[in-house]
Amino acid sequence: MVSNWNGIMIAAERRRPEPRAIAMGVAIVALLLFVAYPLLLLLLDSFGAHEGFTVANYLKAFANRQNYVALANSLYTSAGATLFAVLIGVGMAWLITRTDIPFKRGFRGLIFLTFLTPPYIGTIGWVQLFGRAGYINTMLTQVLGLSIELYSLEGIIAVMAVYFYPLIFWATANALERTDPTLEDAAASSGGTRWRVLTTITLPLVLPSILSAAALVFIHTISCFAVAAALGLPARHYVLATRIYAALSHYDVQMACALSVILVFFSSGAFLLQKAILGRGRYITTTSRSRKPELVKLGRWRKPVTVALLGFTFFTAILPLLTIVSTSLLKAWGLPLTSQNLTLGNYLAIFQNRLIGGALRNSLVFATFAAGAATLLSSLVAYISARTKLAGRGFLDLLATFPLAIPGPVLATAMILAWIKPPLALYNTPWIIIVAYIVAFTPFALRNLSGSLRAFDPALEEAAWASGASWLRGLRDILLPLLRPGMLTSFVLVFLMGLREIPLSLMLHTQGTETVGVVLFSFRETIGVETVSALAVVVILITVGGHLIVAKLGGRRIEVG
Amino acid sequence: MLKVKRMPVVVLMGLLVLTAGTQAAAGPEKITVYMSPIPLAQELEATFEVEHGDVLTVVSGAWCRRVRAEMEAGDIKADVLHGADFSIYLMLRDAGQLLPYSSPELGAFLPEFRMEAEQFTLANGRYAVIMYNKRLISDEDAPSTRDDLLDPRWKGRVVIGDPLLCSAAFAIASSLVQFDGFDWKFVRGLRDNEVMLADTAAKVAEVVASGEALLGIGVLDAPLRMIKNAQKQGVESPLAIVWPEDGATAMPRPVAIVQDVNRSEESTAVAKEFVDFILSAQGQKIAAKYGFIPVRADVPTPPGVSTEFKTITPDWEWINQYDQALRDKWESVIYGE
Repeated sequence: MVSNWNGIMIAAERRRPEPRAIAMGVAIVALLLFVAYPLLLLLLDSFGAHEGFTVANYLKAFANRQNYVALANSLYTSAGATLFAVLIGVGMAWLITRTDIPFKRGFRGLIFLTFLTPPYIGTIGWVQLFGRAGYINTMLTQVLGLSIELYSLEGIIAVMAVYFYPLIFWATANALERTDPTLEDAAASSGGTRWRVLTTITLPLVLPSILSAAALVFIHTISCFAVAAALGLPARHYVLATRIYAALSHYDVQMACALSVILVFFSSGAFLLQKAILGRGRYITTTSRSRKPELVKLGRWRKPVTVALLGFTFFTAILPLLTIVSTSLLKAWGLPLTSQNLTLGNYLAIFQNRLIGGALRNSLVFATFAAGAATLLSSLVAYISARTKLAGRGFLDLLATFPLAIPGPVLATAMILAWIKPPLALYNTPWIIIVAYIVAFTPFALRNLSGSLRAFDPALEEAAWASGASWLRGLRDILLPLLRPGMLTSFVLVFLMGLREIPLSLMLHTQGTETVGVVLFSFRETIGVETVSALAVVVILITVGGHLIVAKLGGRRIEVG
Repeated sequence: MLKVKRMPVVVLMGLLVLTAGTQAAAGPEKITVYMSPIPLAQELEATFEVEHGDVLTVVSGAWCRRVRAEMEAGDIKADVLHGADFSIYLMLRDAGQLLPYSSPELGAFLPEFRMEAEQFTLANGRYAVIMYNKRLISDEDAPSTRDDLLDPRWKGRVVIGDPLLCSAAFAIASSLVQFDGFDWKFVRGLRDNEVMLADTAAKVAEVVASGEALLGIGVLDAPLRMIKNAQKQGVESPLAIVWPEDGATAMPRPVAIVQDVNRSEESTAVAKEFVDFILSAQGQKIAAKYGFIPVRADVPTPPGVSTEFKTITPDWEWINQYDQALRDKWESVIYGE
């Protein structure tokens, strides 16, 4: 298989072929082995697998009216969450990169903090604030006589938008920072109004990055269980991801696979739509990082906009976190926050548990490995898809994105199906978790990178090669420096996703490879929310600390945060 | 593509992964145990290994979906399963995956927990009970029967585990249908009272304690642990437990050995010894600390557990056989017939 692919690529190659062909070959083989093969097993399973070919699972799925309701709910909540995430993310990115709004670093920090909290824990905070007995809802009822219904599809949209707008923010902010401001200046000096420059020059330039991140958010939210379960179930609302969990809970693996295939189908639709929109135009932005753009002066709007942004980030980043911190200090879940109910005992309890140290170490190691591998893999896939004419490159891009649409437990099932037996018996070793993380989170890195790679004019590296530089040299001197901010963002993103991940490691860990997610999940029902909150706070502190250290050592701000 | 100065970091990370790997792979002939919940699993393992050495690999947490996935892949990795409810054991039994084993400890069992000639053994008693938030519901308003959950005063503030997402919750709901003479009127009542669903029957306690729901039906051990932990901290948990006058659904937790032709005699012996340990007075005392009811006459029930109460026993074979039909019916009732 390897030689075959290499052959195709060498044939398609004009310049010095070897290192380039090898790099691309490795990426393709890795994708086929680690993504295509397990997904193929899932597909086969949905058609009956070892019991002979059948479409019974699909017929059964399509015959159930509740599946249509759930699908409609999925599309509604994900589209809604994506829309609001885009509005918030793009708006904040523009404000923070292009205007004279104050506290930019502070806002970036708060956005980072929003993304740090695992939704599984974060929803506990949201319920404490806006639930039926929530602090804010109780106040609203007393003062205004009205209340917010958090347990609704709109509640799911709001909370998901908050958790995933940072993805849009980072993609857009990165894109805005590397757009050549001379284009905008030219438009402005030829008499364009600020609004006209924004809509006709700036926005189209960053559109690929926005759309790429939007597709990511849409597909991720459609397969995401935590928020939909915490806020949908109390009002008996199902989304397709919840239906898939339900099938697995009744040991109906084949039905779960069939429903996942349907989910992948709709997600691919969103992905292809994004590609079709992008395909119509060519958006090349950067020729070089010439200079800093002139900041838009907000004038009399500066104060109100700053206050609004402070209010928003306070509500979305700080308040839920404060409720988690206060819960972590409670002697027992459900007690009011009074001084005699407070303790540091939950923190002591987690450090006394023999699982915690290993779980923290495992999560850090697995997430770091996955982040490195996913960033490399996605860089190569983005390169193949944006810079070569390789047949099937569009499919490679799609293939690497597929896992995003598959709910965690089903993806974990695919991993078990693929890696339980020799020759590659990764199951019950740390590697299966690392591989699962790479497969699950490469889409995050890829969507982040492909947006940025498309933004650079291929003429840059072609010029290097035309002047006789080797492929590696062109890569190192031209492409890598341009891509580095995007790659760093990808690394940090995948790392964070790995650190807060639960369903994959829950099904794939063994003794000694427990992760933070496994402990968070297992402790919640057996030891209690107050202890889980303490652990969540510790993980968030470690991540923030690590981030600050890396930023300090690196001597430059990482684009995330 | 990596710069040379980063190489030490890469090497270091590689070593870390390798050490993580050796931990999992070390030791000859260990048997693998899937059991829950985590604190009980930790203590059972530690106590057993004091005498037998490091012979167990324990996977805790929610393991039912995982076993099912392993079965789909044709290779169940567990040697011993402990916890959850009947459904997974019936499924495995019907697929011929369980090894029949009659423990010598069975002689000390209470009669209601003794099963003859089965491929799995009941290891803990566990019941579905009513719980309510006593900070929000006064004593005189406290529920006493299941029908009290249908009181319109509690509309939208009653919670149960979701039968579609949790096999224990499914058994509870099915048993209520069964004991209404196969009638769905209680479920219809829940629907009309806008019942809240939690993703597991164990999470009901968390939701009631938070005040989001005022009362609900869930498994007993979760609120017992929360009440006990609060006592240890010198405070009073908001949770109160009610043994329903019309009967608490019995949800015993089994233990079983997985059939495996490739397993050595030696390992099977260890597996049997571990099952015996779980069923021994020592093992049962440990389980009682975590809110599970002993199956033996010689171990006292945990504090807070009523000794005289009416129970209803779900017809597990019926639930197992009509799984799909029951799910379909539940859906059609909850979403309006």
